[in-house]
This record gives sequence, C-alpha cells and structure tokens, in this order.
Amino acid sequence: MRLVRDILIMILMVLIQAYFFDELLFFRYLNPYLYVYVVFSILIRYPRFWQLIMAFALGGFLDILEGSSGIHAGAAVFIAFAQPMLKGFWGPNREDTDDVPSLASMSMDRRLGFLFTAFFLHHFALFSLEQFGFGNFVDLLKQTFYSSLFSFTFVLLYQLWNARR
Amino acid sequence: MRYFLLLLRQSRILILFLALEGIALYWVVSVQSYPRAKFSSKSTELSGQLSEWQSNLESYLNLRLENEHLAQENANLREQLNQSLLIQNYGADTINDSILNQRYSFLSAEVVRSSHLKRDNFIIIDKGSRSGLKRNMGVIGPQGVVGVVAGVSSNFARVIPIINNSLTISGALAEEAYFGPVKWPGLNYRHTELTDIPRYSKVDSGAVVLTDGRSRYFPAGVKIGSVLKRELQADQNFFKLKLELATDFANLRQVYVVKDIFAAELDSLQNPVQP
Repeated sequence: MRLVRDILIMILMVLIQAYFFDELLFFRYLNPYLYVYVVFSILIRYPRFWQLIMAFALGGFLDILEGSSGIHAGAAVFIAFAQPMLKGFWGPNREDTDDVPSLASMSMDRRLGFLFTAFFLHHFALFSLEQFGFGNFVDLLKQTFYSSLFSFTFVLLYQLWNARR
Repeated sequence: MRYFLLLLRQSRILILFLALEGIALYWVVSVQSYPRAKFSSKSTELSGQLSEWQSNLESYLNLRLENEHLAQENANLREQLNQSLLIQNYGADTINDSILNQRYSFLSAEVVRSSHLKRDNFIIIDKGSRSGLKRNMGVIGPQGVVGVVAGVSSNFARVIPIINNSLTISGALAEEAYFGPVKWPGLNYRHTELTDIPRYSKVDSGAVVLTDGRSRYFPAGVKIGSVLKRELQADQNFFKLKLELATDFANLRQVYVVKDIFAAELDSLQNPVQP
C-alpha cells in the first residue's frame, strides 16, 4: 500500500516538475529541479538496490516528458548512489540511531547542509551531462550554483514550514 | 570462484550503479549531439504524442499573437508579388519566365514541443517522414530562421534550433555582404553571436543579418536577427557582433520546413565521388 502511495507521489512530482517548475524561469535561464527531493525523502526507505532502480525510473520518466534524453536519469541515479556518502560526510549526530540517518532524524543545520550539497551535486551532474563535458567550467559552476541555490530556497521554505508545525 | 561470487555480491550496488549510468550515458550520447545524432525515433514519437494535447491547448491561448505574426508575414509576401512591383522596362526586352525555376518548396508544420532555456535546446514538429521530411532540411518561422531538422520519425521531426550550441549556420550582413558563422553562446535565448566580420566593415547596431547562399539549408535572405552591439575579437582584426534573434523561441508555433529541390545536386558537387 505504501509502495503504491510512494509511486503515485513520485509520478505526481515528475508531472509537477515537467509541467510547472520547468515553465518557471528565474533570471531568464534558471529552473528549480525539485523532483530530486523525492530521492532523499521517499527512496531512502527502500533497499539500496531498489533506490537506484527507482531513481533511474524517476529521472527517465522526466526525460521522456521533457525530451531531454537521459540527463535526468543519469543525474538522479548518481545522487541516489552518492547519498549515503554525503550523509556520512555531514555526520550522524547524537540523536541518530540509524546507520543511514533519514532526513527526519538529522538536526536542522545538518539537514540543510546535506540538502544543499546534494542539490549542488545533482545539478552539477545534470548540467555537465547536458552540455556533455566540462568545457566552460566557470559557466558550468556558476549555473550549477545559482540553480541549486534556487532549488534549495524552495526546499528551505518547505523545511521551515514543517519545523514550525 | 566462490570468492569471486562473494565479491560480485558485495559490489552489486556498485555494478548496478555503473550499469544504470552506462544506460543513461548511452541515451545522452545517442540522441543529444547533433553531428553524432543517431536518432532515436521511438522516444521522439512518444514525446511528440504526449505533447500534442498540451500544445493544442496552448495554441488556442496564443491564437491572437500567432495571427498577428502570420498577418505580418502575409503583408511581407504581398510586397513581393508581381502586382506590387512596378515594371520599369517597357517593350524593349522580352520577359522569359522559364529562367525562373522553382528551387525551394515550403511545408508548414506546427511546433508540438520546444525548449528554449536549456543549453541544448530542441524543437519537435508535427510533420515527419510521411510528409517527406529528411535530415538537414532547414526550418524557418514567420519571423526568421528557426533551425535544422536533425531526425525524423514517421509523424514527427526533431529540429535543432539556432539556439543550440551544436549548430552553426552562416549569416551575412544585409548591407555589406560580409559573412561569418552564427553560433549561439548559450544562456539567453533572445541573443546570439555572429563572428569573423572584418574590422573595416561599417556595421553598427541596428544592421540586419540574413542568411545567404552559403547557409546551405536555407534560402538566401531569411532574417536571422539584428545587431545589438559590436566588439573586437581577441585577434583584433574581426568584429564579434551580438545579435538579437528575429525568432522569439519562447513563442513559436507555426514553422515552415524548407525543401531544397537541388539539394542532391549541390551535395554531389560538395562531396564529389572520385572516379
């Protein structure tokens, strides 16, 4: 039952991404890519094997809708794979009991730090796949930084709103 | 052997990761870049179908603007009709119409999906190989040049617009006939760049840039854009011109595919078969 619900949420998230967030633009060329948040919040509950498969399906579905040929699939699988290491980097704190801390069990500052680096890495993978190479490196970093800041702002608002409740 | 199986089992996540990334990378390489395009017609067909209903809805919302563009284009065409030309040569010569052979034919198509905010933008239109479309045909819009057909499926075609990093076309100044490559530098979908214009040219902002015979995929004289500002290139001998594109890719619906009837003949000259 939970699986069905999670899959529905993922499909909804991709649809929102493709038909709403991709139409939003900021400074003429920045898009928020919020669908990745699903990887951190939902996929974390599944075994590693299925995390990767579902991340691929998530990105691939968006690729088909956007016609962007594989870049989202690649980036989503990458961030799903890198997630535990990132979490390790931001470190478990005293309250954590799990091996891989879930978002809810991380303290707020660690959680935000984790989310920002995760978004940054995902966007970096996405944009370098999109331009297929690292030429124009400064431009690439700039676009990655601003875009992830933009995505992060949305997530920050959501996190703060959640924290207040 | 047992050890090997154990190793395989321990690193199965890594192997899965590499396999999935491999698939994604193959997907990217096989479709994305224009010169290497091994076109995947299935995914175009699917994405075309999905977008068509959305596009139908949007075309109603944009109807008024679209009408304006078409009306403007009609006016431009009307100017070129014989009725609006004054014949100033009375009697002396015979007019032999047969020297005018049809070279280009145009096929109108509608945009079903497009992007203009990415680094590698693309457009999908609703005519495909059934309508006789082939790769490398030019695509123009009511306002100016749009792009080049990169791949076709039976009902749709994928167009690489000139706001894509991998497409370079030739553009020439309308007034002075100096020409150079037009290549999109990225970021802003309203602007592009024309380089290699000699320093002694008198070009300045406001000058119009058109396609010329060298543009290959397009008839001569289709508008690419107008000059916003000029600056010297690093080599100090040529100007780099910043252009404002004639076509607004954020608002593009109706396009025309250009069929060059003499394309095969031109190709045979360009790449002669060695005897």
